[in-house]
Amino acid sequence: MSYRVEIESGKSHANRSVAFLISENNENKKVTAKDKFENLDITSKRSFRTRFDYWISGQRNKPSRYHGWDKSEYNGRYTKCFVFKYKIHRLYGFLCNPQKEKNIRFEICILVVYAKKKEHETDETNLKNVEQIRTNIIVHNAIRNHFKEKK
Amino acid sequence: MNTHWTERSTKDFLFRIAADFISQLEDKLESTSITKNELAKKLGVSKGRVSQIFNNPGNLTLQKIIEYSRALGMKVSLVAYEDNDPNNIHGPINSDIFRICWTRAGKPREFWDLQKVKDEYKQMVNLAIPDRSFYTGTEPTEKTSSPVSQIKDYIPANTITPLQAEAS
Repeated sequence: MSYRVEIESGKSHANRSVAFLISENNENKKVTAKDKFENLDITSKRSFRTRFDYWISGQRNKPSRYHGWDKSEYNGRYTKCFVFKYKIHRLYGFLCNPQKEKNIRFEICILVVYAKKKEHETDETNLKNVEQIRTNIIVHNAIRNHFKEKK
Repeated sequence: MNTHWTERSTKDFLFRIAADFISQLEDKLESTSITKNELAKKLGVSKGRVSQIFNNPGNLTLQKIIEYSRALGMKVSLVAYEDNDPNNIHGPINSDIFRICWTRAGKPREFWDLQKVKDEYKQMVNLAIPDRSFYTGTEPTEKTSSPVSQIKDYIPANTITPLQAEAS
């Protein structure tokens, strides 16, 4: 399986960016964020892009718009996971810094999984899938190579 | 050139700045515990209509913006600005940043108040900077050379000094 990263927002931002992880030839069926995002209606896309802007610009986490999970939740298994929300739509991803040597504060949210909200509680399946993909060495290399090429 | 998504169309730009406005209303509702139901009653519309506006601000008119602001005891201004980004690579500046800056400046109501802010700022700077030769370009005195070099380390390169602001 091979992957690539596509920056959606914050291409030239010093501190943060939002990107989609893309599974080449759709080999990994769990990677759904980009395709689903592209097929959303225009209002939903604009709403998500607005939320990306807010997070990139450093606006505080508003749980109704976007948030992560801290150590107290799910025994701290998903502290690198992150979600953007609009109505029933959810874009799940993870946070990382592929530019540690250049910029220790840089943070990118790699969006991986799309889901529709079903219940009040987060569906842990989505977080498990994100975490599995986050820790995949091929994904890790794809992210690193994307930023190497950007240099 | 990689421009911001709001540069794709006027509707995209409008959506984003309208969303900023709605975000401010949401903050107000949160801080005052006014519900959307109560806001709807004040506006003489259904709660569903309010939710619709909050979820899709792209169709907000200036009239509605004023109505929604006033219903919450707020006012609204339109601000045109230049941010050295004429090609809109970085997107609009969040309207809440303008509000925060205005609040930090003591909420000046008129241009007279701006003069007061300027005078207070000058006084503050004069008290804070022991060696004004840093700004005048003359040689620093021996006594104050250490504090000046320390201050230089903390002042960003593009800072306009009070004397430069006066000259412009």
